[in-house]
Amino acid sequence: MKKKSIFALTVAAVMTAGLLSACGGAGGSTATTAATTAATTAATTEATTAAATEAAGDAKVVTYWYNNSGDEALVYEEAIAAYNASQSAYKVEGLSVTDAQKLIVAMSSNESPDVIKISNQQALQYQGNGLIDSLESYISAENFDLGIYSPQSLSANSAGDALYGLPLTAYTIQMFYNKDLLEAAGYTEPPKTMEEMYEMAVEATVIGSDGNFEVLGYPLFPYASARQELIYGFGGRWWDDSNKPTPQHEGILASLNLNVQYRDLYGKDAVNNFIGTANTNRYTEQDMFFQGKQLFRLDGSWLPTMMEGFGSTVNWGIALIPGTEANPELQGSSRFETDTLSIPTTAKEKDGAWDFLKWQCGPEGAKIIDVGTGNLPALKALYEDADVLAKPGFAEFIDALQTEKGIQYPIMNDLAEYWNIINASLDEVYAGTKTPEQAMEEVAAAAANLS
Amino acid sequence: MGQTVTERRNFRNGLLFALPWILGFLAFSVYPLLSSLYYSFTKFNAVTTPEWVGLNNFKDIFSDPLVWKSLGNTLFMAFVSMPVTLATALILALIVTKNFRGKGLVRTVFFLPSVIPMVAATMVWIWMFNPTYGYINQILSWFGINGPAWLLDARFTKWALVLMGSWNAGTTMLVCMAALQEVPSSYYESASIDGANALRKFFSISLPSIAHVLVYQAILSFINTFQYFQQVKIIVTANQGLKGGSGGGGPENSILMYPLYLYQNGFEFLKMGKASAMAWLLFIVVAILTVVMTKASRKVTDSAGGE
Repeated sequence: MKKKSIFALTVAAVMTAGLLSACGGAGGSTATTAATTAATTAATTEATTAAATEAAGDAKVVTYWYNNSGDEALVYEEAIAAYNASQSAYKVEGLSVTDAQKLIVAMSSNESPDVIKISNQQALQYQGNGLIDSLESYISAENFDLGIYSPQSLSANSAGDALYGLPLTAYTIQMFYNKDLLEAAGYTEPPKTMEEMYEMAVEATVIGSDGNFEVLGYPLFPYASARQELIYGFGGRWWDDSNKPTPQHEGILASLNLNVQYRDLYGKDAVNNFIGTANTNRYTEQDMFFQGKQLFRLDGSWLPTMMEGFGSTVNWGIALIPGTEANPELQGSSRFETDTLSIPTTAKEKDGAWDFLKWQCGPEGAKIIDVGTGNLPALKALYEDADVLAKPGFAEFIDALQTEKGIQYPIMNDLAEYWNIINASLDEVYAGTKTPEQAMEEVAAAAANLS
Repeated sequence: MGQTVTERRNFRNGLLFALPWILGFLAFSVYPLLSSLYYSFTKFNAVTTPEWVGLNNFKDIFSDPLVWKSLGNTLFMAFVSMPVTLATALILALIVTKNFRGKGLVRTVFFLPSVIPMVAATMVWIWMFNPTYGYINQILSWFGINGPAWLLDARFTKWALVLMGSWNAGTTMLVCMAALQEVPSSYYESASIDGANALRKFFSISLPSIAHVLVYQAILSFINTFQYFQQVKIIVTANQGLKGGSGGGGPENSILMYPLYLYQNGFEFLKMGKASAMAWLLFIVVAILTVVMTKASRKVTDSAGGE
């Protein structure tokens, strides 16, 4: 009996110790944990650094996690190799990590990478949660010239007056159109307003004998663009300048009502069937736009390269996202995002991280990525680079970038949750179970407590 | 009564032998369990220091409609998909326990889906559910039915998952098959002499004889349903497409399962405190339902004359 009691007490003590270490472990808030962590870190870092130094001479190791895989990962490795060859102070070791969960777990443990490549939306979310460092101290210490980047790419990564990541690539959406389908519908020029676009869309729509679309006129696919660009073109905004949700904005309702009007003309089942198929086939040889089954497609700069790769014979053109008759100046409004390089607060080799960040997001490093992966540049100098401009469609997209009409994401910790609420409500609008007004009223109520 | 020296030594040796398991249990089960209990009372993003917020996370989950929606979706899978899968497995087991030529091949074919990785199988099913080119709608079209957009129409998404689940009934089929083979053939012979038909034999002999196995499988499947994650994560990711699109819980959150929403809170919304509270709520719900099912199962097996 006595032995059992001792055993039980021992187990209880171990469990209590475990609980206590759990309390401090993640945040490192207790002195004991801090001391233990410091000792462990020192030992681990020493061992790791020693091994790395042996492998790479005197170079300090900088770990870099990028969220690309496949052929794109090879381009990132090419850039890393070029950086490593360009200097001897640091040796960057890259790793393809496409799983955000792994990144969070690593940052919460002692395995944090020194540099991470994330989207600017993530950068804003992470800074709000204290996961990444402000770059201001590095910038001011070196008097680093931020003027080399487009203004919108800097504001896309800024919160308050601080910059939380350097932009590597830029990302915007514009309107692709099928010239032959447009001509068959009796038009020679792409639309400049949403009203014109709707009229052309209805003219060009073709319904098959089974009731399904043979040609989808209005760009309801992809969803992401219907959720953003079609709304921005109407002047709609999901948030205001003070970062508060505004789902009942009149531009949003106007856009959604036009979507519903188009759906009602042909039936939501036909639209669902088209979108369901288009989703599965997106960016494959069978992509609906590549197959000439979409008149308009709001998509990114990579589309022409993909079409070329798949041997699509569609006669395409690119134009700015339309504005409205009442507000023609809205033409070209589109989301603006960047791929961003940031330094986690838990990084160990921060000086090396900054050195790599500057190079990777500078003219030499960024060009390797932009040309290799078919992404638009955030660096102004690359706007006129011959190799960048040689990519199909890039000239038009760079023109669009230079209008600086990118819609910036808000500084909201709960932005991902807000998008989730919006998407679910849009599903209800598209399914016809709620009117845009009803759905957006519910979004407003659900988003009231988001920050 | 004091222990003898031998008993004490045996106890110590036993403890030493069990020590690796005990340490593993403490490190990988007890510690995370207690950590998550602590985090459930904190505002925590998994990286920075947790901040004590008392019962706020629990208040949050009780007032969050998506928590209840996801719980409802999960219960649908537990109470609809689980019986369908079990019935499918039983039917398949009845087929493969019959003596016919090519029985081995049929068994293999029925079992094959169980050895295909879930990710690959789900990707294939996404293609099968394609509204225009998918096999499911093509088969339906033979009967003049214009099939729906299975994964895009909230009315059909969960039924698509039920279909996927029943396809993967191979493992349960094996268990049922083994149980059926244990039923003495003399029972069937006696029943035949008494003039019982196949249906009567099934309901009066086969089903009662394997009831305990079915109940055990039902409880296991039921608990597994509350861990339903992989398939829906893949489907919603595919529907979202590159750079976002449809909702993170499928159309109208119709396939937002509880574990998926828990994951989203923890790793996408960086609300690890709320996710921990959700995990504890899930634990309590599963524990209650398991107790209820176990008690119910006793009644079933007792009335069936099983073990």
